[in-house]
Amino acid sequence: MKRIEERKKKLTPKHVIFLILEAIVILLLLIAYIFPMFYMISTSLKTMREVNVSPPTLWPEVLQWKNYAEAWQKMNFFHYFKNSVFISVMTIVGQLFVCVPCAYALAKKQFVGRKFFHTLVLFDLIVPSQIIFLSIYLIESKINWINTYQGLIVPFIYSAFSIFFLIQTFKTLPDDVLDAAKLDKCSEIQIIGSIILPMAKPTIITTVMFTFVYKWNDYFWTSILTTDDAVRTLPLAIQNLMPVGNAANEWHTIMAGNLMLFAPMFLLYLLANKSIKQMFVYGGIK
Amino acid sequence: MKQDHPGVFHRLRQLFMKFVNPILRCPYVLIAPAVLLAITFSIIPTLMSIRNSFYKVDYVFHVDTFVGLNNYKTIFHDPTFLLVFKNTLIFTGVTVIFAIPLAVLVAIFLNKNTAIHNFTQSVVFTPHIISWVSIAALWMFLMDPQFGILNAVLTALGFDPLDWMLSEKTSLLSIIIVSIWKSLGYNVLIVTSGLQNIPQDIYESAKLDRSNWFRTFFKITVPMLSPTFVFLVTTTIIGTFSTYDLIKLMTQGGPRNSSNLLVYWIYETGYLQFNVGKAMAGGVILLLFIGTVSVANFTLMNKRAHYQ
Amino acid sequence: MKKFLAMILVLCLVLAGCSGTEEEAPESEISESSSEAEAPAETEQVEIVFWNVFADDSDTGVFLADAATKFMADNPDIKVTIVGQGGYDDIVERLEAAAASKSLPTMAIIEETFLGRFYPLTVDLSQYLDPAVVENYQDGLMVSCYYDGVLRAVPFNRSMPNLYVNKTLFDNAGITEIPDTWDEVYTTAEALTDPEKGVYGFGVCWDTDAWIYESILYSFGGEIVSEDNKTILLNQDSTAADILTKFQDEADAGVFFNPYIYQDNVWSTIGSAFLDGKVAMFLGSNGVYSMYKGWMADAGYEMEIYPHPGFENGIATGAGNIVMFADATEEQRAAAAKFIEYLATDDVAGAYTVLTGYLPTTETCVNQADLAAFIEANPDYVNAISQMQYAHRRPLTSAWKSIYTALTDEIAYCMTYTDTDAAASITTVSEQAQVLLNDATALAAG
Repeated sequence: MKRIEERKKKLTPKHVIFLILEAIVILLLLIAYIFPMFYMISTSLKTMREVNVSPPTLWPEVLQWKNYAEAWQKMNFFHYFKNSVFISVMTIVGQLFVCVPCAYALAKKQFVGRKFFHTLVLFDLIVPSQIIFLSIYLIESKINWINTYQGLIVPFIYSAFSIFFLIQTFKTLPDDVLDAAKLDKCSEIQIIGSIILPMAKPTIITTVMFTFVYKWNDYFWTSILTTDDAVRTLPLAIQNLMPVGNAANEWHTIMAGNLMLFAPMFLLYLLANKSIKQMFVYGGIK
Repeated sequence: MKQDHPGVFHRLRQLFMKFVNPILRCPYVLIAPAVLLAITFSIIPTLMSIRNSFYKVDYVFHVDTFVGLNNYKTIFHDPTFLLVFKNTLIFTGVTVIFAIPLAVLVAIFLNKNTAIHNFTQSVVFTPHIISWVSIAALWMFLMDPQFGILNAVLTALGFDPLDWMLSEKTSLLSIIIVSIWKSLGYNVLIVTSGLQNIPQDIYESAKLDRSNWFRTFFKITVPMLSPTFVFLVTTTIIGTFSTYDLIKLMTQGGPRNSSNLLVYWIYETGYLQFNVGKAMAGGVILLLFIGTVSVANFTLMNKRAHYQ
Repeated sequence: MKKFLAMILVLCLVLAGCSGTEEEAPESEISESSSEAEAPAETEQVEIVFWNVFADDSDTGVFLADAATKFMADNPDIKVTIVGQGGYDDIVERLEAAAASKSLPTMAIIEETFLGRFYPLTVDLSQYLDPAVVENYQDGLMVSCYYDGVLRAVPFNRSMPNLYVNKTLFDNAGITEIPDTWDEVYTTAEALTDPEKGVYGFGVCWDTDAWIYESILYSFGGEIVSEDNKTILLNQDSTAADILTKFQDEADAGVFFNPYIYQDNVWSTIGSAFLDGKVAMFLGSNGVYSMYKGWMADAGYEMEIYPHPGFENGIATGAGNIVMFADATEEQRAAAAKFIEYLATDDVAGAYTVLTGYLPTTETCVNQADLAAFIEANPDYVNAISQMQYAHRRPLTSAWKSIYTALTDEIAYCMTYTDTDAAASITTVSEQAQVLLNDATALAAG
């Protein structure tokens, strides 16, 4: 008991400095991350004139809620939202049908050429998409998949990343349960559906969310593989707000559109805060 | 599973088990879709890219001739490519040197389980799950030399306003700032998880040894975090070398290519200047860099997985 | 969890159903490049696809769609599909992709200099167009329609830079003489500059492909490339650099409005400044004549256009020509030629000029009723028409896009930072450009 008190007394001066530093760091972080958001909101509620003043003001005089209506309409928000939802979900569904069986086979089954196929399938982890984008663009041009849903979905229902994590998790699942199921004359579909998936639920959820965030926010591939608005997703919707030809930058509308753009992801984040963070950690170290 | 289902359903199931199931049981069938897609959208494009780097390709003039190492010679003598490569190296170097220690610092300060600490950590992490489009739009606005808030703050504090994306001196800096801002949350998260993986008894024995804060930090925390550091360094390098969205959205290579990075250069050269062979030569260089770092990352990750 | 997933799946399939039709439409339009019979029609219909650079809901887009409808009414055996492809830059990207995937349209509008890039894929139009129609096009606009002596493009929406003048500001300052040489521009601009009211005498932006700068260069007697498009002439003397230096100085003196010091889009910056009455004169495309005249009138300003200073030395033309692609079948080429001839009829060409201010493409359409009335109502428009004969040839090389990208970058930077050494900039660009030209020459040869 005495020792602990002694220690407490000894630590106080350093402790105080540490606490002050901590407070400063936290304050700076909050400013650096909350202020831009706040400023985005305040800009989205200003008029065109208020935005183009120098020095800029912090808060609009009158809240211009109509900017959101304007942005919604100009951005054609619903159209892109629809496409984003469809493409993200179909990619996830596709991955469940393509990546899960593949990972299952590579993790649990013995067959000739397993190592070879393992490497082949995970080769994509090493290849940065930024190199092959031109070639994929040319391939899709030749088969006329530019500006189509399948063009944006099919290449991504194969994901080396997803397969990798699924394999890691599937490997840890006990074999005896699977053997028992086979003896019980379960179909392969039942094995995958009723045994493997439930046991690997955290990984599945992680993979699904990862794919969802990636696909939802994807600007790169959507801009490369589409040339018109038919199947474009939300990230490209902002382009509709950017000035065309002689028009000026309408920051108030752009910020309103911007907020609407990441609102879905933000909501998801609020609801599933812990799982999302965990998913990135899981994807990271382990 | 072994219940008796009446009539038709039972027959269908029997047929399924007899004919379809063996097909599904075959591992080659299970991996087939993934393998086919991998070949079509990963292997073939990579081979095409590598092949094209040795050719002169033009779809309008119908040219498809083998030129050997010509494209590589061209890019190594092209001042623009060399500038772009330099920019990419600087971008990577600065980001690694600043972003990672910053993340460690922040992680240490936020490593408590109070409401404020958790809230701050969540807030800092938010940009990571937001699309580059929103981030770019936001920062272009903040960095506007006349109407942006950053310059207003600088002048209020008595400093000279900067030209941010408009000047070739500060455009790369602007990109770096945005990039670090976005990735801090993710880096902090990784470091935090690394910190939390350090067993507490080591710290206990350090305290018993009357070790002061600095010694504890440098002799215990840092070494225990080394796998985390390695991971962060490789991920950051891969990330910075792959940067494209930010450039396309914010500066398009910046005034006089001052903020032009490798992937954007490949896009410009192949897509906008129609010089596919040259672009792919640059692409292969990128592939070598990222490939090496990725393989290193991958092997190390695998090792650790086995280790644990 | 399962129910939630199921709901999402159903939602997606429903959405897919709604968007299915949207998705199919562009595919079928773009992949059509061979003639197919339209099922219900009794006669065989030839389908042609026309890619243009207008937004579907813009004035020009609607005009083109209407023209197509009227044409199809008179020619039931031809089906014309008009597809908007964004802008001049976008259409180039898409044509490149179409060339790679062999899905080129029948005809397309391209910025005139891109003939230098796409000519290997185009058709000799003199084989399909009525010689009288070809003869009728304005001589000045035909300058960049020939490649290697072969007619490969015809004018459609062409423009030239004119001097836009805010007459009201001139009157307020008591100035009656409109400058017609560059020296006069400098002195008049100085007289009109009023720092207290925030008024600048003159302003200009080089535009995204530097064609305004190019035009100014020609008007000073300078050149960009040699006639065979193999040698860069930008740095043959100090003309190119001197222009930049002069403009830098005038910007520093506060006489020239400098849109390059703002982060915002330069065209919109200078356009807004002019429309706000903050810039007394600017050099811009007469393709926005009608639009600007209306806007200025709304703002209470009288606006007129005057000849491009130094036009006698030659000035640049810009904007779109129509080309036809060789992938089209003989029937499609004949059909496309008919549509081109229709677009060149007096009524269509005249109405188009009235709507936009784009130059009248043919000699006879100037006398067309609507256009004649328009000219009578807007006598200053004659200054656009009379310039056409001074059109200077444009660079027709496949390297032009790379060259003007580098050029625009440098000259924009020279204006953003007016202490930049213009001569050094021009030298740098010239060296880069010569390398690019050499590549292009090699490409064309082999």
